[in-house]
Amino acid sequence: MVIGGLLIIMMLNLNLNISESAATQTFNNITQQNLTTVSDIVENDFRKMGYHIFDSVKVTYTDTSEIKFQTDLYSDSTIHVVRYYFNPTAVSGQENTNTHVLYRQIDNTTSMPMNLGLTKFRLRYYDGAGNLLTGNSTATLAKIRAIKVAMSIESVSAWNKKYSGAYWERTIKPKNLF
Amino acid sequence: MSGRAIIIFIAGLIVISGVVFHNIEASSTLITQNYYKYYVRQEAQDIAQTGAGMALRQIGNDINWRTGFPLMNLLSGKVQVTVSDSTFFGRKVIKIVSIGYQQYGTTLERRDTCITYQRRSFIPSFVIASVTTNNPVAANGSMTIDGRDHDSTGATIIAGQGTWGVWSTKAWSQSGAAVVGGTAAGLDFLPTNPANPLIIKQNQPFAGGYPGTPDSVMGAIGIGYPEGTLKAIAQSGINGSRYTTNPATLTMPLKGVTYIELPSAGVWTPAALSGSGILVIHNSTKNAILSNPGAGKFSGIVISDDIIHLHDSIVGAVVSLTPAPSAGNVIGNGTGAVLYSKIAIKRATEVAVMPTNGSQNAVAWRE
Repeated sequence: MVIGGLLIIMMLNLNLNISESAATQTFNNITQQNLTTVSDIVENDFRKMGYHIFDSVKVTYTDTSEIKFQTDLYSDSTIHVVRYYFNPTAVSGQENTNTHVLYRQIDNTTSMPMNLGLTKFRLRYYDGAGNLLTGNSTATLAKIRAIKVAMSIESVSAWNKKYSGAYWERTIKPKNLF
Repeated sequence: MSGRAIIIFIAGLIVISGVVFHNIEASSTLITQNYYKYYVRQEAQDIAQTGAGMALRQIGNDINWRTGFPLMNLLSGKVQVTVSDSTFFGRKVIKIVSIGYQQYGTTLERRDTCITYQRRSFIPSFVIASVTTNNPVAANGSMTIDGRDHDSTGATIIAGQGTWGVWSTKAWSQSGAAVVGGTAAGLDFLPTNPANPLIIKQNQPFAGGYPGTPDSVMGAIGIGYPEGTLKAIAQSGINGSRYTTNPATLTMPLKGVTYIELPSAGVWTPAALSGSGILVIHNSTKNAILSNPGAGKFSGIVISDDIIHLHDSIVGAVVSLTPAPSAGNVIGNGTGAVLYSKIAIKRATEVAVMPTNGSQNAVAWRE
């Protein structure tokens, strides 16, 4: 009888643990998929930066959490201004209060929010020699050849009071900037 | 609890655990798949870019290469590249479409396309003859002007591919031992004195007006040379280009676009020209002078407001802009030569790319 009870307790404990692992894995999966979704959108747009722009200034505004650039986004001869901006203080409305919203705006249309659990979104700009560039003077903007994008993402809900997280960083060198 | 109940309970737990394990495995599989799909996308993109890069290299070796690559293995996938002549918003370009495949032919197949537009070498529309002028022009001494098509060295004739020896909006004259040859209606004419009239075009009308700037000689905005382009290329330093208002600072050989901006009636008298590319001597009043360059060899296009006594060998073409040359009409009275060469002109235009779009001489990339 005692042995049976101990066995049941052990089985219950095991079941609890694997259930927790399963939930954690599911959250990890969702978080990672959110990350690749955001990175795919960002990469897809950033690689088109400067396409069909013959001015030397193709990136028109830079900041660590915001960028504006020109491109013929849809290859239809129409030049668009693409803007990405991230407000690290504005709330996302998610259960995870660490998360914030990344916005993608085309020209002056309504911004498209990407509310997928981003906790950090940071941009850095480099010239052809790999020197970090700051500021928005025309001369500086014309020198931009590479943009380092770094983002952290967390699950929008907690499991067992824990958030799963993932980090992505990439230096994108849009060929039309060269 | 009876032994039977315990067995049933444990069996239930085992079933539940089994389901949970299955869920864990499914989640793990999804995570792996997500990662793998991302990897495959990147690989396909890398393959497509590599294919475009290989095509660019081929074109670098042979400017007439348009064969492309059939579907073939590359890296861990496959690539297919097509190359064709095209235009990109008015610019003559070579269009390269490279498609990278990963997991080709499987349910996991992923494709990525990279399109690049490479500036196409061309003969500028206002490079009409071996010597093109907007003023009365004469050749004396033992100068040679030959509109037959030469190879890049000027040594070999490519039959039937050349152009007129001289084209001018004003009168042409020839004296001394100067000889002029050229091509008309596909027929080559050896340099002679007097020249065959078929290869001399004098007192020609010019619909729309004779070009007044170097960029308009290149074809102006319609072909990607809005005003200021050649100067901007020279100032960028790309492909060895140089811009100066003090030509004494130049060293030979010249490369890329060499743009010399002189003051009004300013004169540049180089010891000898050498090198290649596009050489511009110009100012806003259109009276900058290239005077008495001697005994060198330059391959490409020379565009000068005013030319006095050319003694160099120019393999390519020469264009003069002024309607009123400062020292009369004699473009050469020594041993100079202007040997028309399509390949030399094309190579000169190849290196004259907009610096802001100069990635591997590409006008634009789409990926």
